[in-house]
Amino acid sequence: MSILRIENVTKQFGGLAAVREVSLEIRRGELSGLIGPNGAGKTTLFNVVSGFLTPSNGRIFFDGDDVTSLSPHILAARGLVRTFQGARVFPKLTIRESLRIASHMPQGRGARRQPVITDVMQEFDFERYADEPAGSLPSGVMRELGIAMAISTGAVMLLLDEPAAGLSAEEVANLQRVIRRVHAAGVTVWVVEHNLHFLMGLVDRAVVLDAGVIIADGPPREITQQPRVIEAYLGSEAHAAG
Amino acid sequence: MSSASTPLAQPREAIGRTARVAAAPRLALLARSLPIVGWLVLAVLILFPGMGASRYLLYLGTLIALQAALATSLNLVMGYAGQFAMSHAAFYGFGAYASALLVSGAGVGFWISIPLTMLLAAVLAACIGYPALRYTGGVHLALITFAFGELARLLAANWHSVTGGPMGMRVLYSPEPLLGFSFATSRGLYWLATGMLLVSLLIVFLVQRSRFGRALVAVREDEVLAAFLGINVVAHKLAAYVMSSMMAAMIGTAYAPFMSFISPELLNAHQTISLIGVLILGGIGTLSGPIIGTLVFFGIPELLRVAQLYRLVILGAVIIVGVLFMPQGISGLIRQRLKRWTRDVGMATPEAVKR
Repeated sequence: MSILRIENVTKQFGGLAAVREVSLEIRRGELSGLIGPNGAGKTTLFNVVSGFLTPSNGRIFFDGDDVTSLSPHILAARGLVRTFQGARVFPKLTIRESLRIASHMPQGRGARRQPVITDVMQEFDFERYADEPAGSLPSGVMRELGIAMAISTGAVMLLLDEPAAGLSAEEVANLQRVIRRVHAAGVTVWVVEHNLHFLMGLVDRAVVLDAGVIIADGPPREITQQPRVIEAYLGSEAHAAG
Repeated sequence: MSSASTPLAQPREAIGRTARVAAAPRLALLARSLPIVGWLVLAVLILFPGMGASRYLLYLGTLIALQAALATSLNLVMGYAGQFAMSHAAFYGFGAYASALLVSGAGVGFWISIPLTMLLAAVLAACIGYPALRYTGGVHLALITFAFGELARLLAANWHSVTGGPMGMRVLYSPEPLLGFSFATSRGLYWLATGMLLVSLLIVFLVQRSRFGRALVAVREDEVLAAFLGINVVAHKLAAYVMSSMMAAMIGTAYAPFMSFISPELLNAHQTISLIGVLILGGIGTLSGPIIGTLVFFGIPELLRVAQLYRLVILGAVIIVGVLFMPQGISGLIRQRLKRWTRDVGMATPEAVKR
């Protein structure tokens, strides 16, 4: 059963359609990716799905309910949580304070959902940084904190926006491990990534977006063989040469 | 006999280290007990004018208690929620006028006028706050609340038949006795003012420790991130603004019988600005900051008998020095020091054991 269903979503900025009639479904428990060259509309699609932007057209269903144009905090309360490109954390607050803020959201308000990972602090190995302000953390840890905060809200589905951008090889490996662990705990994860190599070893399915349109959808090994994808990524000349 | 000479051979550096380690637990103890010491000092400060016989001390104490309570309530919306509300003095004045009109005009009892005034202030604050707080950035709120404050002041100055106009309004009542305690004397009014200070402190203390308070801090730090963690940003900002304005109105109700005279000057925006100065000086977003700031800002010039005229000059100088040398205020500076001391101990002990 699908947890997220996007139906004919279009997002128009003035005369430019950043996302054009995109329809797709994400199954519950899936670990999938959204790739595409710069300016393909990946982040716009994420912004529309997470409630940051309202779609010009089309509908979005989460967990069977129509959630089109709902505010981010309502979506987060329902379990659809996103992270931001790079690392968006509370720079002046410590890891302990940040996690405490995040973990107090699911309780009380209507849906009582416990986070899939109860002791985030231990599971993510944050103990030694626990009382450092988040702004002074190594960037790899900052990304993990962003994911940990999202998990602490009791998220059912995570939208990760370019989590690996600018990380070192070692940090990337760590981050992949964290994402796999979160996925193994039962969270549906959808990752936007510009970097193909990061996704290849991580996801089971990749959706390729180019100029606001889906051009491929399938296992990463297969879709990277498709001429349209190679063309979108490397340009038509490279395809002709290859 | 070689064992006897070993202590003498101990390098000087090591001795220095043990001395530092020995001193550290004492600092840590001090650091841990400081909140308690702070509360005790506050208790003594509060009891001193209340028990003494000096009318001057009672007057000064009442004034400082009211100012500290105002700063504490403004701290809720500015320090914790991070919203730049310029209407605090207007709500303070609103509280004074509304309560005075209810008591002397409508014949309501003083104690009943307090919740009624707070209710009216809440409705007013919600009407102003909602349109202003829907946007991120804070400029809207600052402008709209400033405009509201000026409007309220002009209204108070020009609505002669109700407020007495720019000449102000005489207040001829004093609070009725409550539970056998008389509030008609200056000592009684002093306890009323300190009671309001303690209520304000209690509210902020409880908010700080609550889920709501932590969500306010999240909103202050990053509204967008807070929203994506499931926090209803507008509702939280609005709740903080309404609560803070209600508290200002509550404190205003005590001002009227204390001064027996209220004038539109009470609503002046520069009163809010000096409250903001108090917060910055004392430490914004901390529980003790508003009180420390008030003591420094209102207490010292008064004790030095410097004329009212120079107070703003001193404030200006102190704020410049304060912002330059302690951007987190006096309270922030103390907290930072304490954190360093406790951390030194935490690090020194295991290291020392290892060596």
